[in-house]
Amino acid sequence: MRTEILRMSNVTFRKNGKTYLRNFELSVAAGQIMGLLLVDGYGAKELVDVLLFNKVLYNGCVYYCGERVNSWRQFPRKRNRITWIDERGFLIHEQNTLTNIFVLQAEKHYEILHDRLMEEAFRPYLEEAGLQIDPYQPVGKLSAYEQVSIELLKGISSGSRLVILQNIDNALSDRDLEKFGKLIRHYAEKGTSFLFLCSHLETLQGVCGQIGIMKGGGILSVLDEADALKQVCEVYSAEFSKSVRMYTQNRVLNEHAPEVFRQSGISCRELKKFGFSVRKGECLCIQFLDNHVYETIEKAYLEGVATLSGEIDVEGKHWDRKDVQDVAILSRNPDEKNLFPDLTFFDNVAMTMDYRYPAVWRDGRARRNLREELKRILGHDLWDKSIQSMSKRERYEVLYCRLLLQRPKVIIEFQPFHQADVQDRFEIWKINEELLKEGIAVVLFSIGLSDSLAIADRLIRVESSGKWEEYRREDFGRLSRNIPWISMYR
Amino acid sequence: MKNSRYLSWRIRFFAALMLASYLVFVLLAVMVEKDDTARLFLCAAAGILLAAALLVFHYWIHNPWRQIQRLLTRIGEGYFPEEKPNPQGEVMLSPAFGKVIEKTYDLRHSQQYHMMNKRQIQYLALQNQINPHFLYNTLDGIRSEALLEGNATVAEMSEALATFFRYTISKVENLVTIEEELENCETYFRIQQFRFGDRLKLEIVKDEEWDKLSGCLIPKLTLQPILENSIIHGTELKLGEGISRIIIRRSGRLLLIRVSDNGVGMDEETLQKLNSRMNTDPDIGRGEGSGSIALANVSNRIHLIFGEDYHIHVYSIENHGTDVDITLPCVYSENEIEKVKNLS
Repeated sequence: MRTEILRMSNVTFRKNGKTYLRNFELSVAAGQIMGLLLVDGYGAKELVDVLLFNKVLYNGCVYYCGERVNSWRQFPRKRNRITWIDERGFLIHEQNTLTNIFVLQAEKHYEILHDRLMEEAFRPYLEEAGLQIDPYQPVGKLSAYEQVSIELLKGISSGSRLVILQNIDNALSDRDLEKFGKLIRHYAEKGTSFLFLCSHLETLQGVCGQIGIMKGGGILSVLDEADALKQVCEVYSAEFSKSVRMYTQNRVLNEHAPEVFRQSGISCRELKKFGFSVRKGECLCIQFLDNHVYETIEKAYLEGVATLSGEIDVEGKHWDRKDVQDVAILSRNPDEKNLFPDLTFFDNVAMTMDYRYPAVWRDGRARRNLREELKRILGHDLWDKSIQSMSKRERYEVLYCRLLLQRPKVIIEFQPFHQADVQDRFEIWKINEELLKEGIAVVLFSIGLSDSLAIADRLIRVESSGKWEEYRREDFGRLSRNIPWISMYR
Repeated sequence: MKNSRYLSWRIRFFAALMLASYLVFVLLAVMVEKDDTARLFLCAAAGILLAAALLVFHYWIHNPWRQIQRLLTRIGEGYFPEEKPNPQGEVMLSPAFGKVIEKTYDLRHSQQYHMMNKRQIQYLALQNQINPHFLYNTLDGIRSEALLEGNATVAEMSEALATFFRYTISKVENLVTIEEELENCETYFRIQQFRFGDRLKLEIVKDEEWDKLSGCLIPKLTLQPILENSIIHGTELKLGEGISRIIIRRSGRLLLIRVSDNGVGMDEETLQKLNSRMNTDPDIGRGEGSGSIALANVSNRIHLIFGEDYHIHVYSIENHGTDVDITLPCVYSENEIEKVKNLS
């Protein structure tokens, strides 16, 4: 007989006058891996809050492990014993595994700690999961897969019957996802249930038995047949799929285009003298399967820290970091981190074009012309709108305008599709496509590929061992099938 | 103190206590005017008691007030609790407020069986106006004539129709077993198949514990209106084969029934309105279509009989079909229903 672990019955959740979950109905059985495909991501955060913290409901009730834990008619007191693992991770990197597991648990705490006892208590979990790690090593030194696995074991050892996984495909490579999928299937067979929230169908299909389509704060349908799922998803990403298909079919790369950017001699951990180059108008994706190497390189580029060895050449000449107009660097979530909410739209877009036209700040006519031109490009006028009041899409448009005006030789992006739902990913893809058309080279650094294959001309995969392999577009079909957009190349 | 469940009494009691404490502190302050240590101690005690008073206020008065506020907001939006207020249970605003809720509950329930179960009324009216035996005899006559003429199709149709009417008109009980309800669905489907032919298919998937489940009680005419909806609003409008599926399974103390079709589905706005309607009075927002009224009626009958924890929910994607999930308790007798309702 099917035993339910979680039932959300007609749940409506409101916050600050806005409805985030509407007549939300969800049921997860013991040992089930239920996926939720986030079409627009709306309400996903609130769903997790309701499940973890029993936030006050406007309507409906929540049952967990057969007990009613939340209802609109009562004020719930305690949080549920549910584990939440998302791409950021909640382990303290400076502490070791045992401390993270036994001391930093919300559900129970141990005041008197005996290392040997903790290790003995935890060793069986490590062996069961097939993890060979030193439990006294700081968690920050573990690989991304090991960290996510430790979080999972932390939840299971604390007695969680339900584990929520949210967007972990951004933190794990496709190979690590496959391994993690096997691990969660193992625990599912033992009775732990999983709720996997993700924006990519390919990631969910590799792991989940049933997948719910979540849009607008509600679940539209729960499907378990692969064909039905594919058809339904094509409905929601129809425009995106069509655009990518047309792009890949019509894409002709100029093999004789000049090289605009070259990085050579990167050495970090196992990686020795790694280098790459990119041509004008080309999109190169570099995937690091070792998250430490990725983080080191990301930090070096974003903070200008001179920990990165090697040399950078732009158009054959050594690149001085002071020449910011040639290389644009976008961090993760650039709509939040690369925009200045206290500055105007004009200040945000024009700040990098001063090398081309320094008088733009004084010249009123130039500003008027610029406004008209940007209105023509975007199709609407954002000039008078404050950055804080803009939607995510509009913020990406601001970034796009800035990059167009800057006209760098190359744009370096870190995890560009990070935390983006289907519509936002399409927006990001369109911007990159426009920039490539303008002849600007794009380099994408990532751990999980996400939608990179929808735009990349080449892919370089850097293994944890330090070896790397290059794939051209015609070789993408050789990659594993749980990567988004791989079906286009098979 | 039975009056302590009323918020009005609690506020008066709290106010009186605060006033008395204030007077005592003033008296003590006057008495220890010249003693610094005693004055300091008195201030500290006042601070601690004030903090305690705030805490008591929060849990004893403010929280129940917020709960009542939410209930009143929901009532203003058209929702009304289906359970009779428990005299020993929830905090009420005042005795008069409690009486209003009780009176309104009684009024609604005496009307609701007549107002909300329209189809049942229609069938009862039909029963009153037409002698059922006359109807069955006539249909039997048609069947006999058809057999004599060698028209097996007409004979089968009239037999199916007679069986269908016998179930819907003659059986006056509110609750039937799920097995009987499924048989009625199969009869109804046979009738529809005469019209649609092979274009229509019905699959029934039963739980592995069907032998135990088959005796579970559900409200009469729960499944057939939903199946009818799935044929009329889903499959009929679709080109090609229409498959309706009824899946019955048990999960703990719940009986879960899903009626699926691979029909035309509905758009998100319609789906949202439909699911919202399941929780409100079916008279609100009338004129939205007979399909939604049928579903809302079934949902409301479930609320009436079992409580608001049990209901219907619809999933649908345009051009990909619709799933209607019915959540019911697993009960085998009417005595169990009262227990289930009290647990809600």
